[in-house]
Amino acid sequence: MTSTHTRGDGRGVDDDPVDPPTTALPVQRPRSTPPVPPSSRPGSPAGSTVSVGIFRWLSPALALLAVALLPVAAATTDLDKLDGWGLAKILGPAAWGALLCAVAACVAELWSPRPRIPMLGAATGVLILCSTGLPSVVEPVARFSTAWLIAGFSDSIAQTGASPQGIDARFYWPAFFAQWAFFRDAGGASQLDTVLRWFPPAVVTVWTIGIYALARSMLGGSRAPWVAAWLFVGLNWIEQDYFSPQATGIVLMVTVLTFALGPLATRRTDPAGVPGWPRPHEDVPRLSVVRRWMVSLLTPPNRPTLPARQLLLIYFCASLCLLAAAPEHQITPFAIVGQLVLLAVVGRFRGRGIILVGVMAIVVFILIAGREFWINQLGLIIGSGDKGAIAAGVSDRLTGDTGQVVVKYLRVIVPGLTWLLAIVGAWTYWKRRRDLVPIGLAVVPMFFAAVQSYGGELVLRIVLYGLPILAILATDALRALVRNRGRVTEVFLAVGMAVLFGAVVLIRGGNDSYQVVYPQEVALYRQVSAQTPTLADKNAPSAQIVALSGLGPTGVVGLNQHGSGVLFGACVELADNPIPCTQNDNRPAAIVSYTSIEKQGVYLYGKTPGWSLAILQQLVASGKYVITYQDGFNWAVKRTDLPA
Amino acid sequence: MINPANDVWVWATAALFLALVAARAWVVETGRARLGRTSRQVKTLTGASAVALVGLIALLGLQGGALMVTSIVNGTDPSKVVYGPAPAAPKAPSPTTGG
Repeated sequence: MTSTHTRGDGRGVDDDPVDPPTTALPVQRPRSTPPVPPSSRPGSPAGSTVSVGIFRWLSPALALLAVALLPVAAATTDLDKLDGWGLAKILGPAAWGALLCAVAACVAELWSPRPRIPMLGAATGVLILCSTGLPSVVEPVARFSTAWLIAGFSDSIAQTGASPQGIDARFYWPAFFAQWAFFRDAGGASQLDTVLRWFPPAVVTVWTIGIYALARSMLGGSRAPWVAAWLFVGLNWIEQDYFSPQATGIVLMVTVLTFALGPLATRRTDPAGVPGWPRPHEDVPRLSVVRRWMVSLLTPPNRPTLPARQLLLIYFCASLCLLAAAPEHQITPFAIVGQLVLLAVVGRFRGRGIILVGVMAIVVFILIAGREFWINQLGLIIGSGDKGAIAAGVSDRLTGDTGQVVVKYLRVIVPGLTWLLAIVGAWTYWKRRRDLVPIGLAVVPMFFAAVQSYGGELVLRIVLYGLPILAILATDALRALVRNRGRVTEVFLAVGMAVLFGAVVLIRGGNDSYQVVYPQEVALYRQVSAQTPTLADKNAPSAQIVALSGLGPTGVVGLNQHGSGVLFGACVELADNPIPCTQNDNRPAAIVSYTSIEKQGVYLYGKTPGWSLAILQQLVASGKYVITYQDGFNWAVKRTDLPA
Repeated sequence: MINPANDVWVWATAALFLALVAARAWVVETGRARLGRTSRQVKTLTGASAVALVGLIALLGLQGGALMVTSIVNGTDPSKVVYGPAPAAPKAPSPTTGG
């Protein structure tokens, strides 16, 4: 895996002008001539020279311009105009200009005769900020209601020092919540609002570092790994990078994969020249299949060329990641172990004992620490509780107005195109290295659909867990396309990159009309939580603060006092049955609604504008509730029989 | 039957297994092994790791693993084994006898 030499066409990458190789250790060799004259690049006009000086300042200037445009973008974006098309429609020229400048900064440095790694890293950071991080820039607080609920989980642990019982099944995997409760306490903070807001670009940056390291091992070269990193960011519409355990789980997964495919990787053929497969020379007759298998079986895997203590440190870090993943998230450890098992079966890494460590961590944690969970909810683990993951993940979500439907179709099309490009890349990789294992790594997470039930988001996770490898394979396809085709193809791909990042802003922001959260909504929920009396049975339906729909910052505080907004009996969502669910003694202590809930009804469910205010009037008219706050579509009511 | 008080033995055995695997990795990677030969230290640590693993599996089986596996294989509800069958719902009053 660490070797980057091509075999199929008999040409090494040393003479590859598109993507020259990098070496793990600096090679000190005297050079009498410059490495690669710019004029030798394919497609360049004969005799033309590109000034290095232009590239020295072009990329930094573009990156700085992109960053400078972001405050303008934040100031000129009117979030009140959000509709079914989401964020992309309301972004002004400054935001799109920033994105274009960020893309141009990356491309300019990539086209430089001597790309600088620090500059490429900085440009990549700016690109993430201008694409994945754009909502964090233009929106006042973090969007995505689940992020706020998870902040509420951390708040709950910070208040009591223990996982609350009977509130949410996610508390059986409490590592992430406990970790942030600890950080919060250690930092002397009372809430995590700022962390929530900037978490997506920060965690995607960490993921991208992992993709770059992984691509360096798998693809080699000095430019292709950066393209793989950008492709990963551009194709990552899945939005699992909000403040969540799975976001951290992906960090652990990429770390372990990087170890396995990088420093721990073993080569497939013996360096001493044992005839293996593929045949080493064109004119050598191919050995029989039996002989090749025998040679493969009897040839011990090569030791990675690292000192023993470095290997041991890597084993330790990989084991630590696996041990950390078990209490962190429900399915990420299975993804990691599944991919490691595939690599072990084909003999691709040294230190297969870490698989045992991973399996042991998962089994011990679920059986012992998660005992109450599996005893009561075994169906969730083995998949008997929900048969409609595909339906819930894809077809059930294709609803809403035109903007919503278009964005959702794009969410289906983009993974399809990603897989298509990755399959082309797998073919390229096969021709170059006779290796199909990488595409297998992307396929492994699909087995979760067969063995686990995780509701509608399972499909999203399957795409996400495969995306690092898919992006790298797709890069190999693009490199093969560019090679020997000249600058025109490169320009075409640069334009494609700008289009891709525009698309990812459109797709990721497609739900922002009802996923956006405002500071006054957060303040509203905190105030309602503080003013609502706590009952002895905090999990009773009559102790709950319930939102009209599962949106907004509901649950950001007070989970220990008011639960997570569970209704009684068959009532699932208050917006569907507001009056029948609020007329008996089990009715919620308080009900809140936000602008996002109003917009969700209008753009996603086709309700008439003002529907949430109509429900408010019904609740007040019933005599069971009294208004405690109202500002536009943000309102709160409480039971009339509660003390003032 | 599951006894939560015995969980400590599971955690201890898991920690022992990790320690043995770590020691084995240290010996394997820092030793000057020759191709085709395994040192006595490595063999000893491999055997000890295997024993610890078998012990861990046995403890896990006692502490819920067997119940989980049988529940999955037979499609039964493990909560009924642990907590007993749910209490029957109170009988509805008969119209002739009800007050």
